[in-house]
This record gives sequence, structure tokens and C-alpha cells, in this order.
Amino acid sequence: MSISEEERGSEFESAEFPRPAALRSARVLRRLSRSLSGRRVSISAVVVAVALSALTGCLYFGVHRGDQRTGDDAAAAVRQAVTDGTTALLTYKSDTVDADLQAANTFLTGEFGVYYQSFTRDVVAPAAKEQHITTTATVVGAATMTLEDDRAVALVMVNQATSTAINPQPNSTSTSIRVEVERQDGRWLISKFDPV
Amino acid sequence: MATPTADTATMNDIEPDNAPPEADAGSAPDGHRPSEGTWKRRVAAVVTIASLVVSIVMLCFAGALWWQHRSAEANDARTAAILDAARSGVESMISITDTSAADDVQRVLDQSTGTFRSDFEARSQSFVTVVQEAKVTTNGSVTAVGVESESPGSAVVLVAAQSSVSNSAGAENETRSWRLRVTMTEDAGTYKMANVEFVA
Repeated sequence: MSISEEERGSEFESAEFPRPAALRSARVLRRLSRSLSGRRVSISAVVVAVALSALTGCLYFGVHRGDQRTGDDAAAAVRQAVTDGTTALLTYKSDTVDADLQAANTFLTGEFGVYYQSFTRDVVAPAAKEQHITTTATVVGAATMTLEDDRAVALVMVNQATSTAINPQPNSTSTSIRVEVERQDGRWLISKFDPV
Repeated sequence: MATPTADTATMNDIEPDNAPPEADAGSAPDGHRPSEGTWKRRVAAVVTIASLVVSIVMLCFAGALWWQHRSAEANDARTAAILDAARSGVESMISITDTSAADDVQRVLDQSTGTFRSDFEARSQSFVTVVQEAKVTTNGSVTAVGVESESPGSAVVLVAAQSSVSNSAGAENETRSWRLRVTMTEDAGTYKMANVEFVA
């Protein structure tokens, strides 16, 4: 900006605000400051500010956080979690079955987790080793059915290719699974797993 | 005092300004240091102004939060409507009886839009004929439906369904499982099937 423009600016100011107007605004300001400095006015303003802050706090923590917990990001996180979990649960190689199923356990919680652990240890792992079963699950679709605060239900569509010592050529099956998940420490863990 | 016209009011109000600065509310009576009373008043004014600023900011913030909450609620309602429409549309599609084939097909068309609707409409006549000639009865129910992705005005929905099929070729309540990916798009305020494909 050039100096001449600034000068013109100040010229404008003096032209736009003649003395009586300046006095009038000064009077308004003084009246305003007099009324703002009143004890009662001050206390009322503080009370209103505190009340509005409290209201906003309630809205933020009581309503907004809840909305966020069930928003689009949460739905996407649920779909990702059930995709990863389902793939882990239904995928193992005969020679690494113990480690594979152990890793799958980290996606599980609750009664289903306990059931899966004992079922895979007692039934799945011995059979996998004995019959050389290798199975690979591919999730071809994951969708959120319901999403509440810390619980969600998802529909997972899986294609599973399984080979055994007798049938080395992978045999393919398609299934749809209803997967329930619970949020624990920010992670969605599988608590129920039912084919539909 | 004279009748308070605008002019006299202005004149009266200007007067205090012409008075010596001692009379100013913001200054101390002795003209050197503000008195304790003046300080209190200044602090009170600052507190009032700060409170007003906080109030306005909080009000704006609360308004924004409330608006977001309303739109989240509207989103939830929209998702529920989409899932209901997809469930109903697929159920109609896999529930066709030879005796009411034309009506059944019309019900599917009513719940369809876009290219899916025009494709289905183009084939509907021959479809009805086949259903009637083969005495097909299919009775379907949706076992699970969920949202795969959502965007404004459209959503992709996964549907798992089962139907039992009977026909003159010998099928007697044979069960069929369906895995469908259905694109639902908004059409005149409701959501309809715009594309249906098998999940391979």
C-alpha cells in the first residue's frame, strides 16, 4: 500500500465522521460502559456465560460424542474389523495351524472367544495337521447391519477355498455370516459368529 | 427542561464532554489516579464483556453441535429407510408365484429405478410367460441386510436371502441361497433398487 492511499483513508475518516457524530458515539460508548460495569449486570453476564458453557459441554459430551461413536467412521471401522477378523478366523495352513489360530484369537472376545479357542485347539488343529487341511477365506463383502454405542452387527460374505491331503485341489464354498462385534479399548472384537 | 427534541437532546448530551475531564466516569476525581471504585467498575466491565464473548462463542458452538446432531439423526433414519427398502425389494424379487406373476413383477418394478428398472421391464413379459408355463413358485425371505457404503442419494447394500423354489420341472421347495449387492438410489423421496448383482 502506498502512503497516498493511507492519507486518503484518513481524509475519508475525518470526512465521514464529523465531530457531532463522534461525540454521539462516545456518549453511547460511555453509557454502554457504565451499564456494563454495573455489579448486577456483571454477575448476570457471568451466570449466562457459565450456563451456556454448561449446556454446550452437555451437548458435546452427551450428544456429539455419542453421534461420533455411531457415525460413518465407526461404521467403516466395524466393516474393516469384521473383514480382518473373519479372514483370520477362517484361514490357516496345516503346518502353521497353531500359530494361525492363536493369532485369530486376538480378534475375539467373550464367550465366543473361549469357545473358539477350545474348539480350534481340540478339533480344528488336530484335524488340520492330520488331514493336511489348508483353508483360505476371502471376504467379498462386509456391511453394517446395526451400529449402537459399543456394539455392532455386520453381514460378512466369505468365499473359502479348502484343500486336504485327499483333495489337494481347493474346494470352494460361499457363505454369509452374521458377525457381532463389541468395542473394547477402541478395538472392535468379535463376540458372535453365526452363518445365516 | 424544554421539549426533548432531537436537537436539544444532542446538545444536552454533548455538554458533559465539554466539561473538564474530572467529570469523566473513567477517570479519578483528582485527575491523577483512578479511585478504587473506578477500578472495580472497570474490572466489572471487563468481566461483563468477557462473559458476553464467551456466551456468544458457546451459543454458536452449541448451535453447530445441535445442527450436527440433527443431521446425524437424519442420517440414521435414512439408513434405516434404505435397509427397509432393500429388504422389501429383494423379497419381492425372489417371491414370484405363477398365478400372480404379472402383479409380482409389477411390485418389483415399483421398487426399482434407473437401468435396473428398464432392463427388468424390457424382460418382464417373457419372464412372466416362463413363470406361468413352468408353474414356478418361489417364496423368499431376507435373512440379513446391511450397508456396505453410503453416499449422498445412494447406498450399496448387501443382502443375504433364502428362497424355496417349486416348479413343473420337479423342484419341490428347493432352497436357494442368495448373496446380492444392491445399489439403492433416491427416487422421488424414497430409495429404490438401481442395480442388483450377485456377490461372487
